Amino acid sequence: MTRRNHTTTPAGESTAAILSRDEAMAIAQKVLDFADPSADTIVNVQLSNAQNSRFSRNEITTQLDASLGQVTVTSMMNGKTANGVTQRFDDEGLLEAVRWAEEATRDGPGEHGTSRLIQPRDYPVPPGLWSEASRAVDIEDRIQRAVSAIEGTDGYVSAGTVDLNVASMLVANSAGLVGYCRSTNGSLALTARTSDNTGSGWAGKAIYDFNDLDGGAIANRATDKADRSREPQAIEPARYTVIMEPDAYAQMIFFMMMYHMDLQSAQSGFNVWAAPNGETKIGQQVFDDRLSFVSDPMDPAGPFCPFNPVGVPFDQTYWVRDGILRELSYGDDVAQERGRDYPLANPVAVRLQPRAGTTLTTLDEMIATCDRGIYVTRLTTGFADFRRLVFTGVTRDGTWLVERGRITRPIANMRYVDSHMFFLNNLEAIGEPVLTAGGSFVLPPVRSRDFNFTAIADAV
Amino acid sequence: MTWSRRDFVRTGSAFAAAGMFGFDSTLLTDPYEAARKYRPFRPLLQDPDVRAIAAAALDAATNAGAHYADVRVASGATRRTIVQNRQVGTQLIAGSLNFGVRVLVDGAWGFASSTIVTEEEAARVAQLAVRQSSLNPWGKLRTLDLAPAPVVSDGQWETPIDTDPWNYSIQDQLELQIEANEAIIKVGEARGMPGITAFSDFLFGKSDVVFASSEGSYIAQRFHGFGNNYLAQVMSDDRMTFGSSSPESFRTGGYGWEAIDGVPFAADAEQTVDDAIMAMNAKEPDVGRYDLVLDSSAVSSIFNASIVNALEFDRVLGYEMHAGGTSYLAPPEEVLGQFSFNNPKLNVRATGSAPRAGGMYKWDVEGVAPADYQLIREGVLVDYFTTREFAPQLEWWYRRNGMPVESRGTAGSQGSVLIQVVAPSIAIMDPGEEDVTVEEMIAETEDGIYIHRGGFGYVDPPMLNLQFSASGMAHEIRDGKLGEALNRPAFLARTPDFWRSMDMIGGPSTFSYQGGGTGKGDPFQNIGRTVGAPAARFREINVFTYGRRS
Repeated sequence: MTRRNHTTTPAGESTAAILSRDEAMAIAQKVLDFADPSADTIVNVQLSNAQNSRFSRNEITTQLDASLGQVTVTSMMNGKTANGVTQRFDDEGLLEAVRWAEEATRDGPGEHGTSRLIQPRDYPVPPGLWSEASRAVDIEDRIQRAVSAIEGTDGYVSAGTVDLNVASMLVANSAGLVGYCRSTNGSLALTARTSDNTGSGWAGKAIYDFNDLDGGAIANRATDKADRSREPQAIEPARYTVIMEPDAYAQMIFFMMMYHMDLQSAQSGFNVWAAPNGETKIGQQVFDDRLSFVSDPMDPAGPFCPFNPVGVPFDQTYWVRDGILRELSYGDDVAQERGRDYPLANPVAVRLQPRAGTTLTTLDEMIATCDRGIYVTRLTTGFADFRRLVFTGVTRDGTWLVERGRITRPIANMRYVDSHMFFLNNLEAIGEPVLTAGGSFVLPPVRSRDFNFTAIADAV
Repeated sequence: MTWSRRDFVRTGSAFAAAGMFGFDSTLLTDPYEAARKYRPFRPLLQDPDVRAIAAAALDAATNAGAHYADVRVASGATRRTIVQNRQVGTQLIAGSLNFGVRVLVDGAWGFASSTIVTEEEAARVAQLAVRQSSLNPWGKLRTLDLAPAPVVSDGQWETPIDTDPWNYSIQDQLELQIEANEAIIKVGEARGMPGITAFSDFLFGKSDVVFASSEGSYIAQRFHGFGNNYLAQVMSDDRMTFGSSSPESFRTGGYGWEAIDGVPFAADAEQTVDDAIMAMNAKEPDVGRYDLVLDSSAVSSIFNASIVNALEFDRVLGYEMHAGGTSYLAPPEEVLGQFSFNNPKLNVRATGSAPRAGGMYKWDVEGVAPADYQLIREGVLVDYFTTREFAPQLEWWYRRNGMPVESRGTAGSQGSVLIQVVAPSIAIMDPGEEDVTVEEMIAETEDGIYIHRGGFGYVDPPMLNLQFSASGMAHEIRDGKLGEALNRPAFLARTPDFWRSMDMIGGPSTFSYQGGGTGKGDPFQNIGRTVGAPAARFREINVFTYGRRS
């Protein structure tokens, strides 16, 4: 086991070690050299560092620093495709991964498919995706953010996490493609409960630059919500107008992007975009015509690496434009049918963009112009019906009744059965999209009619 | 420099000289033939290198001021193949090699991990973990004393399996999968379902994990496991209504190659396809109150989500308020010995071993052997799942009841690169003493629903809001007899009310082990476990349906 050549750091220093383009390429080149020259070979080299300080009951309970490397080899030969993966960067480990992939492409049963290699190209560098300040964060800085968040919740019971991730990824293939991407991201999110355990508030923020993280400010938002949600009263479960913070429905958008954006699966009848007889809903109006879903690695609020793990470029893609479903992701077989150079890949990161000219409304304005409704901070989200993309869960951490233009009282949490497939068709108001606390999704606050609350939920 | 095949072989020979890398010397002659029996796995059990790496981590931690440290070094391999009909979607062999160091300085934990497994890196990572702890301002306030645990200086254990799956090639695995898929397709065509889809996802995993602690424990364990998802799916002519069914021929758990070899999948194919067709044509349940007879798979799912998770002491303390969710079985001083599900039929145990249990170990991730003990006795809460950190917080309760103040061996984690949390590996809801069968429960039910072969139980925090959707089969029960198939009935309940309503419990013959798990922590850890439960009947549950068509 040889040691990877990286800079040795003083005892106990946090390193946030990642690979430079040259370091990663040296590893990738070994894999390409080890590989059978008659195979089409793709290699992906990643090294990431994940750090956090977790806190609960107003103290830091555990901390983490994980430096994880991984090399993935994709071999395509004899009409077959296979992957070998290793965490080792030494020659033995790399050779093993090549061998596993190539072994599996030997003659054997079953039909496979292969894809064309992505030809050499330049990928853009998304602005804001990398922050030297984030890479240089020391344990003390990180702990200090957690301390200021905890101090900001003095007198409350708080729990949360300060997270920081620094990552590098390189993809190369036997056609000469090389793509390199490095990124930093982090977040601070916390829940604060009042000492009588009747009020609860949540607040969180995702960042790329660690300097943008203000623990005290996030704590203030959470404690303010906790205070205002004390001693809630139950109201009758029914359909209500809701004013939703972007974080409340981010999980629904994640589930849609993660599990429902594949063309073939829609044609097979397996996802929400299926239409009868093997058709899809592409070309149909599926959301309010003021809304578009667009993935763009260059998104100024939510940049991401501009290619997938095998090098397929993430171009700006309008999945939904002005409420009409335009695209679903597809593999190289469909790309070839359509005369395209490469597949349409799904980054599972998206912006929900209001149409230009739409009047954007703040959350306060949504409240001020609401006759009767419910303000929602956060929802738990599980599938009620996977295929129809219907969810169920409960409201959490700050739920209020809005009457005649103002918040009048906290209400007991309720179970809902609903979906953005419905409430993004019942829009009354849309706000400015912001990066949600979990990252990857840039979503606007919305006000929507007839959200379906089904029961009182026994939860703080 | 581009390397030819010859160079490739020569490079291999240099490495093969060091047998500790697990390289087979036959690689020298014909790598592709040798690959068939090559094991993509670095055995750690007897590896002197690993002992040195563990020692480097522990020495560095204690020299830097840790009063306790443990290290886990892990080497693993998984082989996964996904086949839809005859089309191979994924074939993957993945190796892992990594370690994690956990340290205690005064009252604060630190944890760091890496995939560079060298003595130098082990020392760096250990020092990093110590520095995290030292800088935690709350660590100074007190010293955290772990519950005592026996030192195991030379522990060895291996999941008992019949045949090492790594003696077989990925092609052998694919052959079997395709054969199984074809059996389904053949029956589907015979039933007039030419569009039938057979789907199989098989995964064999093997890992060696060495645990060493500053107290002198050194434990090497080898784990084997098999996981699978195998199903038949049929579609209506317009492709808008589907039905699926999973045969029970392939099991998940502590298996080797025997998990797929000699399995009667062809014989099961007819039943599987018929069930899928039945599910596709199933009618919507009428919304209302029913008595529910649930088989072991459905009870296990609800038991896992609403009771086993709620017994995890970190949730009870509020540590998961921001992550996996808290527990209604809190605070301990108000509920231990006092909280009751008001149902003497409900008895919950932990155990260290169960036949073919997935995730079974002889020592947990902090080197403690799991105990057999009771957590809920005749409906009353009497203990929790803890760790060496948390057990001392129950000293008042253990002393009062003459029980030892110790961890019962229920720490777990998702791999060695993440910190240990409370995560028991095997939890059991006891069957009734009388051997009541599912048939007897159905015979005694007037207006009910029988839910069998799977379902998803979810609970929302604090584990009180239970939601269940049938995912396998469901049938109405009328006057003690099974009636028509129903489409995915669902129900909502408050957890304690649901368990209180259990008025009949199946006997040992209705008991089976199923896969379960817990999700918690940050980074979020999904940790599998085995749960065992009998069939049971629950009275007057509100059933509804999410419908089926878009």
